[in-house]
Amino acid sequence: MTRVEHGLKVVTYTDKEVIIKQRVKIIDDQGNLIKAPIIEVREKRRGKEPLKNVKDRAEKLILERVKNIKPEER
Amino acid sequence: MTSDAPDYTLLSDVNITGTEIMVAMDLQGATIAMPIDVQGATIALPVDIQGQTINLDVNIVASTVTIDVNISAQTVDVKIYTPSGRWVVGSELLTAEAYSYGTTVASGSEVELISLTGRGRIKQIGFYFERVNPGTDVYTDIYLRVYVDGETSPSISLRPLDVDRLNGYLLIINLMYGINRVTYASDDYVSTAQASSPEGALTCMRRIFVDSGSVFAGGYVRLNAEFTSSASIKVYNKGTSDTKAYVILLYGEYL
Repeated sequence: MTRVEHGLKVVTYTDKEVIIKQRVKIIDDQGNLIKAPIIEVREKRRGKEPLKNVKDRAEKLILERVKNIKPEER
Repeated sequence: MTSDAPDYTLLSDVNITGTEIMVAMDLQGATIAMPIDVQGATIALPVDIQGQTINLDVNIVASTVTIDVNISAQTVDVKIYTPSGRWVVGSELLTAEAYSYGTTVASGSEVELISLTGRGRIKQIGFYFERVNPGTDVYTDIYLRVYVDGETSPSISLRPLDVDRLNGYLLIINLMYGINRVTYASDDYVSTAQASSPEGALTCMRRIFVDSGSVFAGGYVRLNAEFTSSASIKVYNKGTSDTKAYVILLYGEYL
């Protein structure tokens, strides 16, 4: 049985999109680090909408992705 | 001074009180073993040393020394505090990158390009700034700023001019005196650095001498700045025309 811990989160802003990279740590029941992949999502900006809105959508996406880490990523 | 002798069948306490106490332990022998075996559901071994002057000398002299520290736990946090108040953590450091490409920084505004949440290190930043129209001199008007751990004033606020200063004004001297310089248009020159400091340098610039403005400038700085909770990379444009910012960050992360 493994558990997932969040590591460093990096948000990058550009004119066209917001990118979030979240490091996750896959840890076994002995406390050993098994893997530490980076989960990445990109959310496009719609027109001139505030970047904060784009970031909020990207935040939701990254939470979903981290919650449902694929078996091959574990 | 009072003490009670250890009872080998019962829990034993050693209580020492006094205004001046010296406990000296002198062990000499061909073979000495001092195992400390503590087992229990909850164990506390506090060592509290307070005083005006403290000398804690540990001298280990031998032909072969092996020090094993084995800690098994779900979460282990070993902290060694340094004079800065920061702690030293011995663990794996991973390097990754983040890149903000062609982001508009309007005149008079400060724009966040990259934000980091967690603990890590800003290792190196590569940058390239290009103004959209005359009005901004990217050499003097654009600031690369780094905010660490929620700072309201940036730890680092560097213009391309300042980065060039780190490298002994190499680029501006190249441009002014025609070293490693090509004419791009009338009174418009491009120069690239032929040597640079490993810690940071301005490596390319295009400058129009008619309006004394730099159209673009690129370079890098190796900051190795630690942050414990957050960091933010921003660009501030003091000029009067918009500028495009291209920034790549190499950052380290502790696991």
